[in-house]
Amino acid sequence: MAPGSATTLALEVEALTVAFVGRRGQVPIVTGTDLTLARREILGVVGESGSGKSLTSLAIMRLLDTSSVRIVEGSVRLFGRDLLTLSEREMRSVRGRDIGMIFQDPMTSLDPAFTVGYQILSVLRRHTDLGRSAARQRALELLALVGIGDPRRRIDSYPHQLSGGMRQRVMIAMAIACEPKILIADEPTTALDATTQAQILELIRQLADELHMSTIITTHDLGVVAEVCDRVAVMYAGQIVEQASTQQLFYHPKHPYTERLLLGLPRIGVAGQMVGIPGQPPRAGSFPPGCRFAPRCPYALVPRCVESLPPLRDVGESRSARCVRSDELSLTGIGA
Amino acid sequence: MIADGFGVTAAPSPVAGTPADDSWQVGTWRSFARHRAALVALVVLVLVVLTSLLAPLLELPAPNLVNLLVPLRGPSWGHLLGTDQLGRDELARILAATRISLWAALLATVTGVIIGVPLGLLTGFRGGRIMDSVVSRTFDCLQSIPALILAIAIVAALGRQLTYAMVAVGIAFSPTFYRVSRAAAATVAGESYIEASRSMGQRTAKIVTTHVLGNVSAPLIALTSTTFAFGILAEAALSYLGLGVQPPQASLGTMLSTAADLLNSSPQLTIEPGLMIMLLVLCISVIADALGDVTSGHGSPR
Repeated sequence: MAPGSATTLALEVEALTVAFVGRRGQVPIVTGTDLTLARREILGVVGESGSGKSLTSLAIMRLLDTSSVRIVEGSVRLFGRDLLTLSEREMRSVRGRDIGMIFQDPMTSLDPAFTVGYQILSVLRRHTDLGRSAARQRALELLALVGIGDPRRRIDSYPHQLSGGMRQRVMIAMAIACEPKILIADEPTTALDATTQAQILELIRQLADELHMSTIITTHDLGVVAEVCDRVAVMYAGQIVEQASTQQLFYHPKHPYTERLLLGLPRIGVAGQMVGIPGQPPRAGSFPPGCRFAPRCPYALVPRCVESLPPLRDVGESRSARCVRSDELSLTGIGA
Repeated sequence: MIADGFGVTAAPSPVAGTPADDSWQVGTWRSFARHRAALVALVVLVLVVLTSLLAPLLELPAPNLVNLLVPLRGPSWGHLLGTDQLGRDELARILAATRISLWAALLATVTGVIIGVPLGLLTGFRGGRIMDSVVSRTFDCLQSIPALILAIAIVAALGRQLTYAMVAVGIAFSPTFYRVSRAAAATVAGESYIEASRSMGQRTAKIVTTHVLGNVSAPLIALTSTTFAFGILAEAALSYLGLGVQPPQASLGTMLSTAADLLNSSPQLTIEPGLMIMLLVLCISVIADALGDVTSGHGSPR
C-alpha cells in the first residue's frame, strides 16, 4: 500500500489466512483474504454459510477461539496500526472503543440476567471515565439514538421484555456506545423478520452517517447489500472471489459465482424460474487445487480453471475478480 | 410447593409494554410467594432463627445453669419445656443449641462454596483440558472420602472443636459445589452474550464475575440452601458422636446423645431436640425446593 492511501483507509485486511488447528496440523478455512474499508464506507461481505465471512470478522476483532482456530498469516491494520501485533490488553481497549460489533442473534447476544441499562453502562464504564449518573444519562441518549421509545422505562427492562428488533437496537446502542470508528455487523438482520430487517438496516446506515463510522456488514442476503452497501466483497469457500461497487456488481458481475448468485434472486415482473447453483461448495480441507468454484461453474474450462488457483486481479477501476476468464466472459447482471 | 407448579411459569410476561418496575426481584418474590408451603416454611424458619438469636434477651435461665433440685421435670411455668437430668432449662438449651447448629451449618456451607465455586467457574469457563482434568479428578478423590470419616480424621489431627469438624464437613461438601458451578459455567461460556461482551472489550475477570456468576446463580442458590440443611444434620451427627460441640455447651446433637440414655424415663428430652432438627431441616429443604423452582425460570440459560 502506498503511504498516501493509508490515510484514506479505515481498515485494511491483507492476506489474512485463518486455519483450524487440530492435532493433525492446520486446515485453512479462510485463505488470503484482502479487504479494504475506506473511511465512512459501508462494505458488504456476501457469502453462503461456511464461506468464512463470520470468521473473517471475528479474526479482525481477534475473537477467534484460539484453542481451535488461529490466524496463521496476514495483517489487519486499523488506520495503519497492525491489530495482530497488539497485546491482548491493548486489543481489549480496541474492542468496543475503536471497533464496535453487532451479532447475528439479538435473542442470545444480550445477557438475560441483567437489565439493558446495566449492560450498556458496563460498556461505557469500561472505556470512558463517565461516572454512574453521567453514564446512565449517556445510556438514555443512546437508547433514544437507536430509536427506542421511552428510554427511561426501557433502560430498566430485561432483554426478555423486549422484542427481537428492540433487542437488536440495544445491541447496536452497546456497539456504538463509545463512538467507534468502525462498526462490524455480523449478519445483523438474519434473525429478524422482514419489516424489522429494513428498519435495522436503515438505522445502521443512518448511524454510520451521523457518527462518521466505516462499516462492514456480513450477510448472505444480496437484498441487504443492495439496500445499504457502497461496495461488496463476495466470498466463496474461504476466499474473496469478487470485489466491486454495489452497482457494478449487480449490473456487471465479473465472476461466474456472482452471476449465479444474482440469477438466484427472485425478481418481480420477470417470467421464468429462479436458477439455483447445482452442487455443494467444497469443504475446508478438501479445496480443489484450481479455482474453487470450477466444479460448479458452467464456464469452467478443463486445463485453465482446474490447474492452479486463479489470483484476485484487477478487472476495472477499483474492482477485482478471481477468475481467469473474467475478460472474455460477458456475464449477466440484473436488469440485463 | 411441588404440588403447584406456578412458580415456573410466573416469570414476568414478555409482552411488549410490560412495565419496567416488574423487576426480577419483584417477579422472583411473587413467584416464590405462590409456593404456599415455602412461604409457611420461611415464616417458621425466620421465627425460630430470631428466637434463638434473641434468646439471651428473653427471661430464661442460663442454658448451662445446673439446678440439681429440679432434675427431669416436666413442663411448667418456670421451665416451659421442663428440665434435663441436671435440672438445666430445656428451652434455653434448645435455643442455644439451635444457634450453634445454625452457625455450624453456615460454616460448613460457606467452606464448601468458597472451595468449590471459584474453581468450578474457572475450569468450566476457561478450563484447558489439563487444568480441567487435574482439578476435576482431585474433587473426585475428595468426594470418594465419606464426610464423617474426613471429619473424624481432621478432628483427630487438630483437636475436638466444632470449627474444625464443620470445616471438614464443608470440604466434603465442596465437590458438589465444584461440579454444579463447573457445568453451569461451561454452558454459559458458549453463550453468545459472552462473545458479545468480549467484543465490547470486557476483561475475562469482569465477564466471569458478572455474566457467568449472574447466570449460574440459579442452580447454586438451590444447592446452597439444600447444603445448609445437610450441614445441620452433619453437625447433629458429629456432636452426637462427641466430635463437635463439647459439654457442657448445648448442641442439638449432644442433647440427643445425653438424652438417649434416658429414653425410657424421660422421652421428651429426646423428642424436643429431635423435633427442632426436623423442623429446621424440613423448613430449609422446602424453601430450597421453591427457590430452585423460582430461579430456574429466570437467569439460567434456556
